[in-house]
Amino acid sequence: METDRELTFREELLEEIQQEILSLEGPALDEYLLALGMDPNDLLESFDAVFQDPEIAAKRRQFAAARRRSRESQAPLSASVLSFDPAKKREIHSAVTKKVDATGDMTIAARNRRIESDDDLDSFLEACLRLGLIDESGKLKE
Amino acid sequence: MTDQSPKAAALLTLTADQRKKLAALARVKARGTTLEADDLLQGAKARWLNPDSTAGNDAFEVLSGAVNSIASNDRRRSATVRRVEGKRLVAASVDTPDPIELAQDLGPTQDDAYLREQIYRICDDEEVKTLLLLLDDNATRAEILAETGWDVTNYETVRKRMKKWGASLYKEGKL
Repeated sequence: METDRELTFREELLEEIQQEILSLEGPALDEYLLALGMDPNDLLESFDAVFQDPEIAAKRRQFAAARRRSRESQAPLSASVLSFDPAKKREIHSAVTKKVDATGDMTIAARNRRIESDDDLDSFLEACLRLGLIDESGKLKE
Repeated sequence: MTDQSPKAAALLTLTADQRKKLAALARVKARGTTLEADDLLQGAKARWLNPDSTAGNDAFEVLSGAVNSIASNDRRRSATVRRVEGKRLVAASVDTPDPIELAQDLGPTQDDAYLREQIYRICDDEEVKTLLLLLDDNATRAEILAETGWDVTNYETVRKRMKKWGASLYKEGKL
């Protein structure tokens, strides 16, 4: 900070805090703020209360919630479909392929549509599950 | 937001980290002023949205600069008002004036000594403690270097660590 006088010690300490806040990002920033006794979510709310009208704040919250849901959907799957025997998995794969060919809603491009191993089959079914094409029991979703 | 100007729209592009930083900065800078953190944010927002402003196009830079400058102006103005009002009260009042109004601020030296003492109390870094003691004796940098055998880099590193310890006083409300 430029100044025309020498900073007092108190100002130097506050300046140090300010520099630290400005230099940190992400989890390190949150950790530092918490160490100062400031809740990062509370800070966001107080900022939004001043800068945004309720409509925009609500939209931002919806966006944050959608992003959180998206992140959660990337979490490891505990899907039972992946524990089925290979014959059952191939049956599901076949059903999905038929549906996709019939509806033309999407294109299966991965590995040039070839399933060469059990791992390929698991990856395919996992992707179908994440995309919402099938449920955890392997049933096609409408 | 009813104002759809590019400047108003730019506020929506601030990241979560930037919004947290601005709110935190406002809280830190509100200390020692007559303003609340929200007042600083409101003032910064008004400056950003002022169509006549030539402050720049980077919303985060302008807002953080405005928070700093509004707090700094308030601190200067308050110090002046306290001095002037204090003198006027003494002259004008027939009753005994409120001692709080007449109380002088801790001068920088007293305040510095208090803060150094507080840091010393919580610190477990021997080099920082040494520095605090020397500063308390009003030692100059040259004297500190001579006394400790540190070079300038080492001295600055210890000072930096001292300030980090000092920052931990914030949570206790001592900063």
